[in-house]
Amino acid sequence: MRAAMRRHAAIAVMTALAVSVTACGSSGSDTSDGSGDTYTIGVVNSTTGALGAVGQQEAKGMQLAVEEINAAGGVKGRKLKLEEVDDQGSVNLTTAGFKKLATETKVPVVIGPGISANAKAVAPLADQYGVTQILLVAQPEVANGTKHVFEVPLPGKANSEAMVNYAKEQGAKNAAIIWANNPYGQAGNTDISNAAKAAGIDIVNSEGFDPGKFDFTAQAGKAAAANPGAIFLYGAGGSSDALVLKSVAATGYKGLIIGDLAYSSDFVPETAGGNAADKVVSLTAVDYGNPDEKTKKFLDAYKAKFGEAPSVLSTYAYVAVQLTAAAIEKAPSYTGEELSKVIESLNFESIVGKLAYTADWRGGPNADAFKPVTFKNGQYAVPDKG
Amino acid sequence: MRIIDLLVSGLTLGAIYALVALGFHLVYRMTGVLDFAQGDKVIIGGLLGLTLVRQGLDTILLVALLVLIAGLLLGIAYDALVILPTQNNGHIATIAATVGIMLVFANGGHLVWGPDGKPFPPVHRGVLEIGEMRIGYQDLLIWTVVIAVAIGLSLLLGRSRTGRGMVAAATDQLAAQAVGINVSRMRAIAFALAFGLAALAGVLVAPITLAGGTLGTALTLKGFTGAVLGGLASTRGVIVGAVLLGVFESELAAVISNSYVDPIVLIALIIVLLVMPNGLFGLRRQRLA
Repeated sequence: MRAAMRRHAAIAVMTALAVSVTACGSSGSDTSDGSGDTYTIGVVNSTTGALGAVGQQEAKGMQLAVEEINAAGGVKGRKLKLEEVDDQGSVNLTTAGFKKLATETKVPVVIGPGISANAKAVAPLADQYGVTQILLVAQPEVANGTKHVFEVPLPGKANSEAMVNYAKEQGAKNAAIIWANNPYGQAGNTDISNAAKAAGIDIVNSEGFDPGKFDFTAQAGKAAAANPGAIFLYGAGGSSDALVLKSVAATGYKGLIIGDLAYSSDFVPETAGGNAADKVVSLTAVDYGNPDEKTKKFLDAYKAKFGEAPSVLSTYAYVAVQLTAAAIEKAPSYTGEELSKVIESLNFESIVGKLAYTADWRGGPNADAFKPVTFKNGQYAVPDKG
Repeated sequence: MRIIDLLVSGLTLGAIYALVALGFHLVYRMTGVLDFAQGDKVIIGGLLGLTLVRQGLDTILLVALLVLIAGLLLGIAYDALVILPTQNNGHIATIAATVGIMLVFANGGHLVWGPDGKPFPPVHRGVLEIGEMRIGYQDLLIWTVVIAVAIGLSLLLGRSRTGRGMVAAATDQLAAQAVGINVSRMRAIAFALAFGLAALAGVLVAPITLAGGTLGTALTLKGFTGAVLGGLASTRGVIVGAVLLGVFESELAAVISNSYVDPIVLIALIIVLLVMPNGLFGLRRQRLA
């Protein structure tokens, strides 16, 4: 009898606990974890897999931003916390991860992913679940037309336009393109070709390269043999970009070498060699060569923490967290609906330019926000004029 | 684009494939197993070398020696942990285990050293200029090592008692055991040598391919293709197959779009295998027999 009562009491206690836990999880609390002293931000990122290098750079940028914000007192007196899901670069894992964050962790905002295919797959889910999403991809068409999706990166098309504008300013009449044979690089090839046509620059050679390889002698040789005024390099965001640059420099090509923002990564001089790195001018979102005070503070803090310069991708992720924090600060409640409304009206001034969103435009800043950067003796520098 | 430059880069590409192909050949001849972790073992070797360099060891030949020794020891562990537990379930199970460990190496390398390739110092910087031909000293070193390993392997497999024991053990385990050959020991030696060779290759090729990164699977695929093209059972065959593959790829990339190179190379391989199922040198060996 006594044993049966104990059993009933235990069941009652467990039921009460289960009900209270469920109630916490589904309450309209200002936080997603019910603890009341943090704002949990969801992150879908690819820190392992073939594009793990990209995701790890982004993870570092987010980590630094959260630490800085929390060290300065957090947002509305509460700390920020990242709930990260590694999608390993897989589209399936991206959508599964997003759903988990939206329905189990119940975050109202998710940062990432940073891979185009994954972003395309997951963006419709943001509107479906009423979750604000800040993508780290440079394709505004993915976010435009949605209610809850925004992008931080400067559009890839704008990067291409900035590269072509720079070539034109330097007097190039014709050019070759070497582009990474993946969706990002293919889009770059198309955008550069279109921008060059509009600017009156002839494209005399266009060659793709496989970022999974290491020998780019043939591609570099064909581009240089066409003897163009400029060679545009549109990379994959990994170390193979630097090997392509190394191959181009090894041909003895004397004209302009103009890289996309991937060529402003700090590993370029060591990987491509100093001589090659000194020859490339990257049109990039971060003014490494001549940083303003805010940018310099970020560059120094990042270097102090990770022992390396932040890549553009790290910077975008850093800005995404800052944008989210600014939105939480102004939003009347921590819901996807309110955060999206605030982000659209913020006109947030970031270190990569002003993030001015409208109902129709959800991409990052335009071509004017790109800065030319090169290297001198392995260090960032402003390219010589003309 | 000068053909001679492409030939030099193609020969180096082929020599890199040959180092992987020789690993396939060595394990196949000595154990009958196809080890698909061969490319990722090369990557692990490069990363071990990078760790030593970052610790301040700047004599690359010494780094190569230490990595070779580490590779030999890892090979013994590899045999004990990956091959031994699966060998009684047949070759398919063993091959599946090598595919599994390939993924472990690839992702493990990313977690420990990061996913991107890292610069690695060459044994000797600079280039040798012969007329208009320019050959990097590192390229020359890789070519030399490939030739030396091929000669060593031919002697080991064809002339030495241990090598013959290994081949016998791979051909018929029961018969080998009956005549007193320690099959387990032979297999452990085979995997130790294969891992050692791959690790050494990792240090040699890292100045060109970068250390680490995501090249392991591509190296496995190309090394295996080269080995099959030349004839997996022939030392000379795998070298010729791998070098032909490298040169063919390099020259082809100069005349057609890069996107078509791999499909054309693999279609060419299928055609060759249709005509000569045992590879270029496998058929010759059969005819001679």
